[in-house]
Amino acid sequence: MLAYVLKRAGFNLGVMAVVVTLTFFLMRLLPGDPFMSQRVNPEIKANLYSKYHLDQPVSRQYAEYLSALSRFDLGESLKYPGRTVNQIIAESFPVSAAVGSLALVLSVVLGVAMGVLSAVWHSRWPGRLILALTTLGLSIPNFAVGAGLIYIFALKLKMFPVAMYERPLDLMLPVLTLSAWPAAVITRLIRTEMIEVLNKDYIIAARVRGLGSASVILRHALPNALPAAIHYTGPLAAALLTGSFIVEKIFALPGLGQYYITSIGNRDYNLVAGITIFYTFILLVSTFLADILTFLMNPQCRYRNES
Amino acid sequence: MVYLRVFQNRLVLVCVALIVLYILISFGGTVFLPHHPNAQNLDQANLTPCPAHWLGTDYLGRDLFSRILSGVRISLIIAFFATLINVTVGFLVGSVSGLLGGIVDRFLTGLIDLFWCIPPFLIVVMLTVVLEPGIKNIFIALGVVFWVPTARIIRGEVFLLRNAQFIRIARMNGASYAQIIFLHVLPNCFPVLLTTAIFSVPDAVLAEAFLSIVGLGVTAPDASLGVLISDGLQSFRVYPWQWFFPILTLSMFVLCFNILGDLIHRSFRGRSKGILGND
Repeated sequence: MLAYVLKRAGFNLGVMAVVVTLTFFLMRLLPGDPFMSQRVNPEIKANLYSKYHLDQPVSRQYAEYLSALSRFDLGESLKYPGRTVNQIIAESFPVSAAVGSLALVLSVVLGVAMGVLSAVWHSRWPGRLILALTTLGLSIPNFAVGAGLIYIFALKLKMFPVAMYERPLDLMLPVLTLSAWPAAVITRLIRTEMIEVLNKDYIIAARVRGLGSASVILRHALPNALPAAIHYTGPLAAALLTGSFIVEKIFALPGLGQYYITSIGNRDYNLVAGITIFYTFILLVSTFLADILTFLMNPQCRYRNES
Repeated sequence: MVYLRVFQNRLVLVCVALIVLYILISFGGTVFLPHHPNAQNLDQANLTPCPAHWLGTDYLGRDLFSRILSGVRISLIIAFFATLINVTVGFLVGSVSGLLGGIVDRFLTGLIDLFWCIPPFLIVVMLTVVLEPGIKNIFIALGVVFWVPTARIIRGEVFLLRNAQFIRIARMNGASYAQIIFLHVLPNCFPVLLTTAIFSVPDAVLAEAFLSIVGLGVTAPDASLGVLISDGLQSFRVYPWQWFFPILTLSMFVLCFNILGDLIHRSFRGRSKGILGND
């Protein structure tokens, strides 16, 4: 177990190093520079360049960036002067994480419940209905769901304010939008596994022993149907927690997802690199946690993970 | 022909018919377009649907129906080539890795694992910015990330096949790796490859829409479905139809492919087990 954890940690560090290097150099390869939109004269530009050490050779900048990174200092934003990347992340991440964690909980609960139900009833109409719903959920992208929800519930029915978040309930529309797709995926994963598990001999044996169907399904079948869904939930958690650009744009949420894309357009080298590193870190941690969870639930998975 | 059996399902027929319809109409050139998709008429901007403009007009007075049809064409081109790159690269990498084994396999799986850990949309967004947005560069950027899961699946399949009797006999008879890959591995992986290809089309269409909303879509005046949706999103509170019809077109298209992929996947699932059961 310990060897496995150490091996994984080492591999993850390697991935982090590759991601840091890749974003660092790719951003500097992009045409344009961070100050092109401000139309400053060459002298000021030269001053700005020397202020942010952009006039130095790239290898030197890279070395400086790495040494700052080892102190968890992601540098200063080039587009928002006076604000460090750490500050921007500290301000916007809680917003994304609040919406994202709610969406994560909702999609997992909904996904597991619907997955179990559709597997139990897989040849009758409720199971088919759920399957049809998930196919629909997988085909309607989140920008359609989000805008549709705003149009119906905020503009026509006036049940929610548009882009105003005072009560906790106001977060319902973005949370619903974010969780529609993952809930559909989790439902399908659970359903496929569950149908297979329910046909296994030990389930029939449990039924023969006279256990109630709730006990058979929840205690004996469900744990064996979960691994695929847990495996999917790892990367999903990272994506939801760090925020989605589109959903934050539609709902005007001041989250992290927005900065990600706009900073690439702004050539804000430090912000892009900082958010990427942050995202990759969360992604690796949550994937790792998901793997550990699968491992703890089923020792057999050890062989699958190590190969 | 075992693959034709799939068409016995009526839902598959409906989906295929709709997809063919999409392709025919959008590639039918100007025959089906009531107006030129890029012709502006500012007097008739933001019209509601009416007999002259079936689906209304946009903020520059361009006919939305014509724009959607030509948008489907551009989205289809992007999706087709992204899928082509996905399937070719994914199959070649996966089968070479699974069949050769050893150091080649370790290197290629390492590459796959590395790509797996880097957030895909980061690669896509950066590549589109580096290459500058355009039809060709969008599908190249999508292809660069799409092949990774395909290669992983194919490698898994081929790894199981590599010690199968017919592969061993072929190798004993002196068949080269290229011959084995294309004559023996490809037909056996075909169901998996087909499902991957079918699911990759809606993925590409959705990814293209995402890029357009981010502002990295096809350059004006051409418009893909994604560009139309992103234009519609700007004003969907006032002119909901400008947002609704492109989204409806896109969702229907994606739905067709998802259902088709699902049914084909299901009809092949038993079969792919059968091959290995013989060994």
